[in-house]
Amino acid sequence: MTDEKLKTLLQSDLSLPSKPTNEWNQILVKIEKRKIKWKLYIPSFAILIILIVGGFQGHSYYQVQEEKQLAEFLIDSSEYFNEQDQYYAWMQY
Amino acid sequence: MGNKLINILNPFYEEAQEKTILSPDELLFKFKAEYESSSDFVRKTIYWNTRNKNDLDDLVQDTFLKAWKAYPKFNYDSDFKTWIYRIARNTLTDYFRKEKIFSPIEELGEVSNEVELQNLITVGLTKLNEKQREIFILHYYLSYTQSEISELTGISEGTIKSRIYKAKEIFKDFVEANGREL
Repeated sequence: MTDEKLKTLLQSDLSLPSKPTNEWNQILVKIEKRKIKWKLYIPSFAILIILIVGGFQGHSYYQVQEEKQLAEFLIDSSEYFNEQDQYYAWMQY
Repeated sequence: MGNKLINILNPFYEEAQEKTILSPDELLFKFKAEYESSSDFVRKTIYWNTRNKNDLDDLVQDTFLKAWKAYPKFNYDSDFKTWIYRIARNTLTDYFRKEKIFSPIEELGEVSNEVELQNLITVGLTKLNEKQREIFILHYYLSYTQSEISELTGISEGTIKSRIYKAKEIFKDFVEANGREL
């Protein structure tokens, strides 16, 4: 079997279905669908990011309590360093 | 001072001028022209590698959809035809991974002397493995030379030559065993 005979044999097979006339339009539809998908994904993703970041920045009840306690401690402890106090009167500011 | 600055910036300016920035519509228009020039080639490649008429349209469309996704990054380092061929090849690899078999083999059943030419070829192709079949189709059906196949597939000419030889032997034995005189 020569190469030419083999080529002739294969090329005589005409079973390849013809191209649909609207093939490009079908591809375009798929491209558009993909664009719409992204248009939906991007806002949802942005909302998700806002929620996550907002969640991290928001103060929980326990955080507020801790901050209150710390503030109280700092205010209360200021008297330890009072010049009038005999134990700390040697301190100079 | 002014001249010095212009000399420093000039290469960047020239580079920016060379890269044509296309709008999405212009890009799609360019892609459509590429589709029109290569769709027959992609169609033949996919059909001959699968011999499946049912999945053909979907596979062709998937190939062009994948190409469209990657098209903004494609900078024409290679020929568009080479690039699209490789995408079609990946699409086929995914297809065979999913389908496991060269589809029509089950539909055809036993091959007799009366079998039509089309079925003889289809079953003959099933005797080749995927790698041999790919090269065999490019060479004998699409009439590509060994160097053109090498460029398309990225496989060395030596390997292509040996695959063509083996594939031809297998196919020839099958055709002759089924009483077809060539």
